[in-house]
Amino acid sequence: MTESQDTVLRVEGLSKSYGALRAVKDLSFTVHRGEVFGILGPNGAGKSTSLECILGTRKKDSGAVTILGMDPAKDRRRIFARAGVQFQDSAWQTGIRVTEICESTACLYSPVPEWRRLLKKFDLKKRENAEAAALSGGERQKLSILLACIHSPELVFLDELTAGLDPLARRDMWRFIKAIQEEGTAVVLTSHYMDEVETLCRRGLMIKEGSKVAEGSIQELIAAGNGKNLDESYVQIMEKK
Amino acid sequence: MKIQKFLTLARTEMKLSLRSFDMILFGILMPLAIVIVIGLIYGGERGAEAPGVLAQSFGAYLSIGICAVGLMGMPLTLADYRHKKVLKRLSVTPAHPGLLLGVQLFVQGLVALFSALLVVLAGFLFFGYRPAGSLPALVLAYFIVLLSIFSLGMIIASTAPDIKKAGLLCSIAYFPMLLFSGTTIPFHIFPGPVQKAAAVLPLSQGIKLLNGISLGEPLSAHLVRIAVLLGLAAVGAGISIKTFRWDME
Repeated sequence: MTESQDTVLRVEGLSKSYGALRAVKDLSFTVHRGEVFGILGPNGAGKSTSLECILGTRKKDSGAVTILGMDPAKDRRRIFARAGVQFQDSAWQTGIRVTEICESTACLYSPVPEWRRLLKKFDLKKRENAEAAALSGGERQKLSILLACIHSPELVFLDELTAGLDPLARRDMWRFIKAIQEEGTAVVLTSHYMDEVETLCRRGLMIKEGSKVAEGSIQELIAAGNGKNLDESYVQIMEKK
Repeated sequence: MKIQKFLTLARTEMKLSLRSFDMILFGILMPLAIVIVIGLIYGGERGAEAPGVLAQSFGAYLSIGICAVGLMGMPLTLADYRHKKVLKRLSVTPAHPGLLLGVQLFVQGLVALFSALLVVLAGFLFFGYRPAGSLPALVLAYFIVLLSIFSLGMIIASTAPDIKKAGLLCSIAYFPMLLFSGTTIPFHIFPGPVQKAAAVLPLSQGIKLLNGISLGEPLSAHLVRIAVLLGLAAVGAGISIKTFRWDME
Protein backbone atom coordinates (compact mmCIF):
# COMPACT_ATOMS: atom_id res chain seq x y z
CA MET A 1 0.00 0.00 0.00
CA THR A 2 1.42 3.39 -0.95
CA GLU A 3 1.59 6.18 1.58
CA SER A 4 -1.22 8.18 -0.02
CA GLN A 5 -3.65 5.24 -0.12
CA ASP A 6 -2.92 4.48 3.49
CA THR A 7 -3.55 8.03 4.67
CA VAL A 8 -7.17 8.96 5.41
CA LEU A 9 -6.48 12.34 6.99
CA ARG A 10 -3.60 14.74 6.55
CA VAL A 11 -3.42 18.05 8.43
CA GLU A 12 -0.56 20.46 7.77
CA GLY A 13 0.10 23.75 9.54
CA LEU A 14 -3.52 24.32 10.60
CA SER A 15 -4.06 27.66 12.37
CA LYS A 16 -7.13 29.51 13.55
CA SER A 17 -7.54 32.72 15.56
CA TYR A 18 -10.55 34.43 17.06
CA GLY A 19 -9.43 38.05 17.18
CA ALA A 20 -6.36 38.12 19.41
CA LEU A 21 -6.95 34.58 20.69
CA ARG A 22 -4.94 32.01 18.77
CA ALA A 23 -7.17 28.97 19.17
CA VAL A 24 -5.14 26.57 17.00
CA LYS A 25 -1.46 27.07 16.24
CA ASP A 26 0.32 25.35 13.37
CA LEU A 27 -1.16 21.90 13.95
CA SER A 28 0.05 18.99 11.78
CA PHE A 29 -0.69 15.25 11.94
CA THR A 30 -1.64 12.27 9.83
CA VAL A 31 -4.18 9.48 10.39
CA HIS A 32 -3.89 6.12 8.65
CA ARG A 33 -6.52 3.77 7.35
CA GLY A 34 -8.16 1.64 10.04
CA GLU A 35 -6.54 3.26 13.07
CA VAL A 36 -8.12 5.01 16.05
CA PHE A 37 -6.45 8.38 16.61
CA GLY A 38 -7.02 10.52 19.70
CA ILE A 39 -6.85 14.30 20.02
CA LEU A 40 -6.35 14.91 23.73
CA GLY A 41 -6.41 18.04 25.78
CA PRO A 42 -8.32 19.87 28.51
CA ASN A 43 -11.52 21.81 27.85
CA GLY A 44 -10.76 24.94 25.86
CA ALA A 45 -7.48 23.58 24.46
CA GLY A 46 -8.80 23.86 20.90
CA LYS A 47 -9.87 20.26 20.22
CA SER A 48 -13.29 21.07 18.84
CA THR A 49 -12.07 24.13 16.93
CA SER A 50 -9.35 21.99 15.30
CA LEU A 51 -11.90 19.36 14.38
CA GLU A 52 -14.25 21.92 12.86
CA CYS A 53 -11.47 23.59 10.86
CA ILE A 54 -10.45 20.15 9.57
CA LEU A 55 -14.01 19.34 8.54
CA GLY A 56 -14.50 22.72 6.92
CA THR A 57 -17.51 23.60 9.07
CA ARG A 58 -15.38 26.48 10.35
CA LYS A 59 -13.02 28.53 8.19
CA LYS A 60 -9.35 27.96 8.95
CA ASP A 61 -6.92 30.88 8.73
CA SER A 62 -4.11 28.86 7.18
CA GLY A 63 -2.93 25.31 6.62
CA ALA A 64 -3.88 22.42 4.39
CA VAL A 65 -6.29 19.55 5.08
CA THR A 66 -6.90 16.43 3.01
CA ILE A 67 -9.67 14.00 3.97
CA LEU A 68 -9.68 10.70 2.03
CA GLY A 69 -7.47 12.44 -0.54
CA MET A 70 -9.90 15.33 -1.04
CA ASP A 71 -10.14 18.99 -0.03
CA PRO A 72 -13.06 19.58 2.36
CA ALA A 73 -13.60 23.10 1.01
CA LYS A 74 -14.20 21.77 -2.51
CA ASP A 75 -15.40 18.20 -2.14
CA ARG A 76 -17.78 18.42 0.80
CA ARG A 77 -20.41 16.07 -0.59
CA ARG A 78 -17.98 13.47 -1.89
CA ILE A 79 -16.06 13.41 1.39
CA PHE A 80 -19.10 13.02 3.60
CA ALA A 81 -20.52 10.27 1.43
CA ARG A 82 -17.57 8.27 2.82
CA ALA A 83 -16.84 9.95 6.17
CA GLY A 84 -19.06 10.50 9.21
CA VAL A 85 -19.10 13.10 11.97
CA GLN A 86 -20.55 13.30 15.46
CA PHE A 87 -20.55 16.82 16.85
CA GLN A 88 -20.57 17.62 20.53
CA ASP A 89 -23.69 19.73 20.21
CA SER A 90 -25.83 17.61 17.92
CA ALA A 91 -29.46 18.58 17.81
CA TRP A 92 -32.57 17.74 15.91
CA GLN A 93 -35.77 19.26 14.65
CA THR A 94 -38.38 20.00 17.32
CA GLY A 95 -40.76 17.09 17.76
CA ILE A 96 -38.83 14.63 15.57
CA ARG A 97 -38.83 10.95 16.59
CA VAL A 98 -35.89 8.55 16.64
CA THR A 99 -36.99 6.52 13.62
CA GLU A 100 -37.68 9.70 11.66
CA ILE A 101 -34.17 10.99 12.32
CA CYS A 102 -32.64 7.68 11.26
CA GLU A 103 -34.78 7.43 8.15
CA SER A 104 -34.16 11.00 7.01
CA THR A 105 -30.42 10.70 7.65
CA ALA A 106 -30.07 7.30 5.96
CA CYS A 107 -31.87 8.48 2.82
CA LEU A 108 -29.10 11.01 2.16
CA TYR A 109 -26.68 8.22 1.25
CA SER A 110 -26.71 5.92 -1.71
CA PRO A 111 -27.25 3.07 -1.49
CA VAL A 112 -29.56 3.82 1.45
CA PRO A 113 -27.99 2.02 4.44
CA GLU A 114 -29.86 -0.46 6.65
CA TRP A 115 -30.15 1.34 9.99
CA ARG A 116 -32.56 -0.82 12.00
CA ARG A 117 -29.84 -3.24 13.05
CA LEU A 118 -27.87 -0.25 14.41
CA LEU A 119 -30.80 0.70 16.65
CA LYS A 120 -30.51 -2.75 18.23
CA LYS A 121 -26.74 -2.56 18.42
CA PHE A 122 -26.96 0.76 20.26
CA ASP A 123 -29.75 -0.47 22.50
CA LEU A 124 -32.11 2.21 21.17
CA LYS A 125 -34.69 -0.17 19.67
CA LYS A 126 -37.03 0.28 22.64
CA ARG A 127 -36.86 4.06 22.19
CA GLU A 128 -37.46 4.12 18.44
CA ASN A 129 -40.81 5.91 18.69
CA ALA A 130 -39.66 8.38 21.32
CA GLU A 131 -39.13 12.02 20.53
CA ALA A 132 -35.44 12.87 20.36
CA ALA A 133 -36.02 15.57 22.97
CA ALA A 134 -37.30 12.94 25.42
CA LEU A 135 -34.12 10.82 25.28
CA SER A 136 -31.69 10.81 28.17
CA GLY A 137 -28.26 12.42 27.69
CA GLY A 138 -26.65 9.04 27.13
CA GLU A 139 -29.29 7.97 24.62
CA ARG A 140 -28.91 11.21 22.68
CA GLN A 141 -25.17 10.69 22.57
CA LYS A 142 -25.62 7.13 21.31
CA LEU A 143 -28.07 8.31 18.68
CA SER A 144 -25.71 10.96 17.37
CA ILE A 145 -22.88 8.41 17.12
CA LEU A 146 -25.22 5.96 15.41
CA LEU A 147 -26.04 8.64 12.83
CA ALA A 148 -22.36 9.41 12.24
CA CYS A 149 -21.78 5.71 11.50
CA ILE A 150 -25.06 4.97 9.71
CA HIS A 151 -23.40 4.63 6.28
CA SER A 152 -20.42 2.50 7.45
CA PRO A 153 -17.94 5.32 6.82
CA GLU A 154 -14.24 4.75 6.06
CA LEU A 155 -13.38 7.51 8.51
CA VAL A 156 -15.45 8.82 11.39
CA PHE A 157 -14.86 11.90 13.57
CA LEU A 158 -16.22 11.71 17.11
CA ASP A 159 -16.14 14.81 19.31
CA GLU A 160 -16.22 13.81 23.00
CA LEU A 161 -17.84 10.49 22.24
CA THR A 162 -18.60 9.41 25.78
CA ALA A 163 -19.45 12.79 27.30
CA GLY A 164 -22.52 12.33 29.48
CA LEU A 165 -22.47 8.53 29.42
CA ASP A 166 -22.52 6.37 32.54
CA PRO A 167 -19.68 3.84 33.01
CA LEU A 168 -21.64 0.94 31.52
CA ALA A 169 -22.76 2.91 28.50
CA ARG A 170 -19.18 4.10 27.99
CA ARG A 171 -17.99 0.51 27.82
CA ASP A 172 -20.75 -0.31 25.35
CA MET A 173 -19.55 2.57 23.22
CA TRP A 174 -15.94 1.40 23.41
CA ARG A 175 -16.99 -2.05 22.24
CA PHE A 176 -18.75 -0.48 19.32
CA ILE A 177 -15.74 1.66 18.37
CA LYS A 178 -13.53 -1.42 18.52
CA ALA A 179 -15.98 -3.32 16.36
CA ILE A 180 -16.09 -0.67 13.63
CA GLN A 181 -12.31 -0.37 13.76
CA GLU A 182 -12.02 -4.11 13.19
CA GLU A 183 -14.23 -3.68 10.15
CA GLY A 184 -11.64 -1.20 8.82
CA THR A 185 -13.06 2.19 9.80
CA ALA A 186 -10.54 4.81 10.90
CA VAL A 187 -11.65 6.89 13.89
CA VAL A 188 -10.53 10.37 14.95
CA LEU A 189 -11.80 11.15 18.41
CA THR A 190 -11.36 13.98 20.87
CA SER A 191 -11.34 13.16 24.53
CA HIS A 192 -10.08 14.15 27.93
CA TYR A 193 -10.67 10.72 29.45
CA MET A 194 -7.29 8.98 29.42
CA ASP A 195 -8.70 5.51 30.22
CA GLU A 196 -10.76 5.81 27.07
CA VAL A 197 -7.80 6.87 24.97
CA GLU A 198 -5.62 4.06 26.33
CA THR A 199 -8.34 1.52 25.60
CA LEU A 200 -9.22 2.69 22.12
CA CYS A 201 -6.41 4.59 20.45
CA ARG A 202 -3.25 3.37 18.78
CA ARG A 203 -1.84 6.86 18.38
CA GLY A 204 -2.73 10.37 19.36
CA LEU A 205 -1.61 13.87 20.06
CA MET A 206 -1.98 16.21 22.99
CA ILE A 207 -2.83 19.86 22.55
CA LYS A 208 -2.57 22.64 25.05
CA GLU A 209 -3.69 26.21 24.33
CA GLY A 210 -3.96 25.38 20.66
CA SER A 211 -0.45 23.94 20.24
CA LYS A 212 0.67 20.35 19.90
CA VAL A 213 2.70 19.35 22.98
CA ALA A 214 3.12 15.59 22.33
CA GLU A 215 2.41 13.11 19.58
CA GLY A 216 2.92 9.42 18.88
CA SER A 217 1.85 5.97 19.98
CA ILE A 218 0.26 5.59 23.41
CA GLN A 219 3.65 4.39 24.77
CA GLU A 220 5.33 7.46 23.31
CA LEU A 221 2.69 9.73 24.81
CA ILE A 222 3.22 8.11 28.23
CA ALA A 223 6.98 8.56 27.83
CA ALA A 224 6.54 12.23 26.90
CA GLY A 225 5.57 12.89 30.53
CA ASN A 226 7.09 11.05 33.45
CA GLY A 227 3.99 9.16 34.48
CA LYS A 228 3.40 5.44 35.01
CA ASN A 229 0.34 5.61 32.78
CA LEU A 230 -1.28 7.98 30.29
CA ASP A 231 -3.32 9.72 32.94
CA GLU A 232 -0.26 10.69 35.00
CA SER A 233 1.76 11.74 31.98
CA TYR A 234 -1.15 13.79 30.65
CA VAL A 235 -1.47 15.67 33.93
CA GLN A 236 2.28 16.32 34.04
CA ILE A 237 2.39 17.56 30.47
CA MET A 238 -0.63 19.80 30.87
CA GLU A 239 0.54 21.28 34.18
CA LYS A 240 4.05 22.03 32.90
CA LYS A 241 4.52 25.80 32.46
CA MET B 1 -33.36 7.04 -6.03
CA LYS B 2 -33.21 10.85 -5.99
CA ILE B 3 -36.98 11.13 -5.87
CA GLN B 4 -37.08 8.55 -3.06
CA LYS B 5 -34.64 10.66 -1.05
CA PHE B 6 -36.74 13.76 -1.69
CA LEU B 7 -39.98 12.08 -0.65
CA THR B 8 -38.49 10.55 2.52
CA LEU B 9 -37.30 13.98 3.65
CA ALA B 10 -40.54 15.64 2.58
CA ARG B 11 -42.64 13.13 4.52
CA THR B 12 -40.69 13.76 7.73
CA GLU B 13 -40.78 17.53 7.27
CA MET B 14 -44.51 17.43 6.57
CA LYS B 15 -45.14 15.51 9.79
CA LEU B 16 -43.01 18.01 11.73
CA SER B 17 -44.80 20.96 10.20
CA LEU B 18 -48.20 19.51 11.07
CA ARG B 19 -47.07 18.88 14.64
CA SER B 20 -46.42 22.59 15.17
CA PHE B 21 -49.53 24.70 15.38
CA ASP B 22 -48.04 28.01 14.12
CA MET B 23 -48.32 27.19 10.47
CA ILE B 24 -51.86 25.91 10.76
CA LEU B 25 -52.86 29.15 12.47
CA PHE B 26 -51.11 31.68 10.21
CA GLY B 27 -50.99 29.78 6.97
CA ILE B 28 -54.38 28.10 6.97
CA LEU B 29 -56.78 29.50 9.54
CA MET B 30 -55.98 33.18 9.07
CA PRO B 31 -56.67 33.36 5.29
CA LEU B 32 -59.82 31.35 5.86
CA ALA B 33 -60.96 33.73 8.60
CA ILE B 34 -60.29 36.78 6.42
CA VAL B 35 -62.30 35.48 3.49
CA ILE B 36 -65.20 34.56 5.75
CA VAL B 37 -65.18 37.95 7.50
CA ILE B 38 -64.98 39.88 4.20
CA GLY B 39 -67.71 37.68 2.78
CA LEU B 40 -69.95 38.29 5.78
CA ILE B 41 -69.39 42.05 5.63
CA TYR B 42 -69.83 42.57 1.91
CA GLY B 43 -71.63 39.49 0.70
CA GLY B 44 -70.26 37.44 -2.11
CA GLU B 45 -72.49 38.28 -5.04
CA ARG B 46 -70.72 39.34 -8.18
CA GLY B 47 -72.45 42.34 -9.74
CA ALA B 48 -72.49 42.56 -13.51
CA GLU B 49 -71.08 46.09 -13.55
CA ALA B 50 -69.05 46.38 -10.40
CA PRO B 51 -67.72 43.09 -9.09
CA GLY B 52 -68.34 42.53 -5.38
CA VAL B 53 -65.60 43.09 -2.87
CA LEU B 54 -64.98 39.38 -2.47
CA ALA B 55 -64.75 38.88 -6.21
CA GLN B 56 -62.58 41.92 -6.73
CA SER B 57 -59.91 40.85 -4.25
CA PHE B 58 -60.22 37.11 -4.44
CA GLY B 59 -56.66 36.74 -5.71
CA ALA B 60 -55.53 38.62 -2.63
CA TYR B 61 -57.13 36.09 -0.30
CA LEU B 62 -55.51 33.27 -2.22
CA SER B 63 -52.13 34.85 -1.65
CA ILE B 64 -52.36 35.42 2.12
CA GLY B 65 -51.42 31.79 2.66
CA ILE B 66 -48.54 32.07 0.19
CA CYS B 67 -47.27 35.07 2.09
CA ALA B 68 -47.60 33.60 5.57
CA VAL B 69 -45.96 30.33 4.61
CA GLY B 70 -43.39 31.62 2.12
CA LEU B 71 -42.22 34.70 4.00
CA MET B 72 -42.68 33.46 7.56
CA GLY B 73 -43.12 29.71 7.91
CA MET B 74 -40.44 28.49 5.52
CA PRO B 75 -37.62 30.93 6.31
CA LEU B 76 -38.24 30.70 10.05
CA THR B 77 -38.20 26.89 9.88
CA LEU B 78 -34.80 26.89 8.19
CA ALA B 79 -33.47 29.62 10.50
CA ASP B 80 -34.57 27.49 13.43
CA TYR B 81 -32.75 24.47 11.96
CA ARG B 82 -29.63 26.60 11.61
CA HIS B 83 -30.01 27.88 15.16
CA LYS B 84 -30.48 24.34 16.53
CA LYS B 85 -27.44 23.10 14.56
CA VAL B 86 -29.58 20.73 12.51
CA LEU B 87 -28.10 22.25 9.35
CA LYS B 88 -24.61 21.94 10.77
CA ARG B 89 -25.19 18.21 11.22
CA LEU B 90 -26.46 18.01 7.64
CA SER B 91 -23.40 19.91 6.41
CA VAL B 92 -21.30 16.82 7.17
CA THR B 93 -23.52 14.55 5.08
CA PRO B 94 -23.80 14.47 1.27
CA ALA B 95 -26.98 16.61 1.41
CA HIS B 96 -27.07 19.37 -1.22
CA PRO B 97 -28.47 22.79 -0.19
CA GLY B 98 -30.81 22.60 -3.16
CA LEU B 99 -32.29 19.38 -1.80
CA LEU B 100 -32.99 20.93 1.61
CA LEU B 101 -34.47 24.10 0.09
CA GLY B 102 -36.46 22.07 -2.43
CA VAL B 103 -37.96 19.88 0.29
CA GLN B 104 -39.03 22.96 2.27
CA LEU B 105 -40.46 24.57 -0.85
CA PHE B 106 -42.46 21.44 -1.58
CA VAL B 107 -43.75 20.84 1.94
CA GLN B 108 -44.57 24.44 2.76
CA GLY B 109 -45.94 24.93 -0.74
CA LEU B 110 -48.42 22.15 0.00
CA VAL B 111 -49.49 23.97 3.16
CA ALA B 112 -50.06 27.16 1.15
CA LEU B 113 -51.95 25.22 -1.49
CA PHE B 114 -54.17 23.64 1.13
CA SER B 115 -54.91 27.12 2.48
CA ALA B 116 -55.85 28.33 -1.03
CA LEU B 117 -58.16 25.34 -1.52
CA LEU B 118 -59.94 26.13 1.74
CA VAL B 119 -60.32 29.78 0.68
CA VAL B 120 -61.86 28.71 -2.65
CA LEU B 121 -64.11 26.23 -0.91
CA ALA B 122 -65.24 28.74 1.72
CA GLY B 123 -65.94 31.36 -0.96
CA PHE B 124 -68.07 28.90 -2.86
CA LEU B 125 -69.88 27.17 0.00
CA PHE B 126 -70.67 30.22 2.14
CA PHE B 127 -71.07 32.95 -0.46
CA GLY B 128 -71.57 31.14 -3.74
CA TYR B 129 -68.50 32.80 -5.21
CA ARG B 130 -66.84 31.27 -8.27
CA PRO B 131 -63.89 32.85 -10.07
CA ALA B 132 -65.04 34.23 -13.42
CA GLY B 133 -61.83 33.41 -15.27
CA SER B 134 -60.47 30.11 -16.51
CA LEU B 135 -59.57 27.72 -13.72
CA PRO B 136 -56.37 26.31 -15.32
CA ALA B 137 -55.15 29.88 -15.86
CA LEU B 138 -55.88 30.69 -12.21
CA VAL B 139 -54.00 27.59 -11.03
CA LEU B 140 -51.04 28.47 -13.24
CA ALA B 141 -51.03 32.06 -11.99
CA TYR B 142 -51.23 30.79 -8.42
CA PHE B 143 -48.10 28.68 -8.83
CA ILE B 144 -46.22 31.56 -10.49
CA VAL B 145 -47.00 33.81 -7.52
CA LEU B 146 -46.15 31.03 -5.07
CA LEU B 147 -42.74 30.44 -6.64
CA SER B 148 -41.83 34.12 -6.76
CA ILE B 149 -42.83 34.85 -3.15
CA PHE B 150 -41.22 31.63 -1.89
CA SER B 151 -38.00 32.54 -3.67
CA LEU B 152 -37.83 35.73 -1.58
CA GLY B 153 -38.39 33.63 1.51
CA MET B 154 -35.66 31.25 0.38
CA ILE B 155 -33.14 34.09 0.14
CA ILE B 156 -33.94 35.00 3.75
CA ALA B 157 -33.81 31.32 4.73
CA SER B 158 -30.38 30.89 3.17
CA THR B 159 -28.67 34.02 4.35
CA ALA B 160 -30.09 34.93 7.76
CA PRO B 161 -27.22 34.43 10.21
CA ASP B 162 -29.37 33.82 13.27
CA ILE B 163 -32.96 33.36 14.26
CA LYS B 164 -33.43 36.95 15.46
CA LYS B 165 -32.23 38.45 12.19
CA ALA B 166 -34.33 35.94 10.27
CA GLY B 167 -37.37 37.07 12.25
CA LEU B 168 -36.56 40.69 11.49
CA LEU B 169 -36.03 40.08 7.76
CA CYS B 170 -39.23 38.05 7.59
CA SER B 171 -41.18 40.85 9.25
CA ILE B 172 -39.64 43.42 6.88
CA ALA B 173 -40.74 41.33 3.91
CA TYR B 174 -44.07 40.11 5.27
CA PHE B 175 -45.83 42.99 6.95
CA PRO B 176 -45.46 45.69 4.25
CA MET B 177 -46.67 43.19 1.68
CA LEU B 178 -49.54 42.13 3.90
CA LEU B 179 -50.56 45.76 4.42
CA PHE B 180 -49.80 47.42 1.08
CA SER B 181 -50.08 44.72 -1.57
CA GLY B 182 -53.81 44.37 -1.26
CA THR B 183 -53.96 41.15 0.72
CA THR B 184 -55.94 42.56 3.61
CA ILE B 185 -56.69 46.15 2.57
CA PRO B 186 -57.90 46.40 -1.05
CA PHE B 187 -55.17 47.98 -3.15
CA HIS B 188 -57.47 50.41 -4.98
CA ILE B 189 -58.52 52.30 -1.84
CA PHE B 190 -54.94 53.57 -1.23
CA PRO B 191 -54.10 57.13 -2.44
CA GLY B 192 -52.26 57.29 -5.77
CA PRO B 193 -48.67 57.81 -4.49
CA VAL B 194 -49.02 54.92 -2.03
CA GLN B 195 -50.28 52.71 -4.85
CA LYS B 196 -47.30 53.67 -6.99
CA ALA B 197 -44.82 52.91 -4.22
CA ALA B 198 -46.53 49.64 -3.27
CA ALA B 199 -46.61 48.52 -6.88
CA VAL B 200 -42.91 47.61 -6.69
CA LEU B 201 -43.66 44.94 -4.08
CA PRO B 202 -43.66 41.58 -5.86
CA LEU B 203 -46.78 40.52 -4.06
CA SER B 204 -48.64 43.58 -5.43
CA GLN B 205 -47.89 42.34 -8.93
CA GLY B 206 -48.78 38.78 -7.93
CA ILE B 207 -52.12 39.88 -6.55
CA LYS B 208 -52.87 42.02 -9.62
CA LEU B 209 -52.25 38.90 -11.67
CA LEU B 210 -54.43 36.65 -9.50
CA ASN B 211 -57.22 39.23 -9.23
CA GLY B 212 -57.14 39.84 -12.95
CA ILE B 213 -57.34 36.15 -13.80
CA SER B 214 -60.08 35.45 -11.27
CA LEU B 215 -62.08 38.37 -12.75
CA GLY B 216 -61.90 36.75 -16.16
CA GLU B 217 -58.88 38.37 -17.83
CA PRO B 218 -56.68 36.09 -19.95
CA LEU B 219 -53.07 35.27 -18.96
CA SER B 220 -51.91 37.10 -22.08
CA ALA B 221 -53.02 40.39 -20.52
CA HIS B 222 -50.33 39.93 -17.85
CA LEU B 223 -47.29 38.71 -19.79
CA VAL B 224 -44.83 41.31 -18.46
CA ARG B 225 -45.99 40.69 -14.91
CA ILE B 226 -45.61 36.93 -15.35
CA ALA B 227 -42.12 37.34 -16.81
CA VAL B 228 -41.05 39.55 -13.89
CA LEU B 229 -42.42 37.12 -11.30
CA LEU B 230 -40.80 34.10 -12.95
CA GLY B 231 -37.54 36.02 -13.28
CA LEU B 232 -37.69 36.82 -9.57
CA ALA B 233 -38.30 33.16 -8.77
CA ALA B 234 -35.28 32.07 -10.82
CA VAL B 235 -32.98 34.73 -9.36
CA GLY B 236 -34.16 33.96 -5.82
CA ALA B 237 -33.61 30.24 -6.24
CA GLY B 238 -30.13 30.84 -7.65
CA ILE B 239 -29.13 33.25 -4.88
CA SER B 240 -30.48 31.04 -2.12
CA ILE B 241 -28.63 27.94 -3.34
CA LYS B 242 -25.38 29.86 -3.87
CA THR B 243 -25.42 31.67 -0.54
CA PHE B 244 -26.81 28.87 1.63
CA ARG B 245 -25.36 28.99 5.16
CA TRP B 246 -25.10 25.79 7.17
CA ASP B 247 -24.04 27.35 10.43
CA MET B 248 -24.18 30.69 12.20
CA GLU B 249 -20.44 31.17 12.86
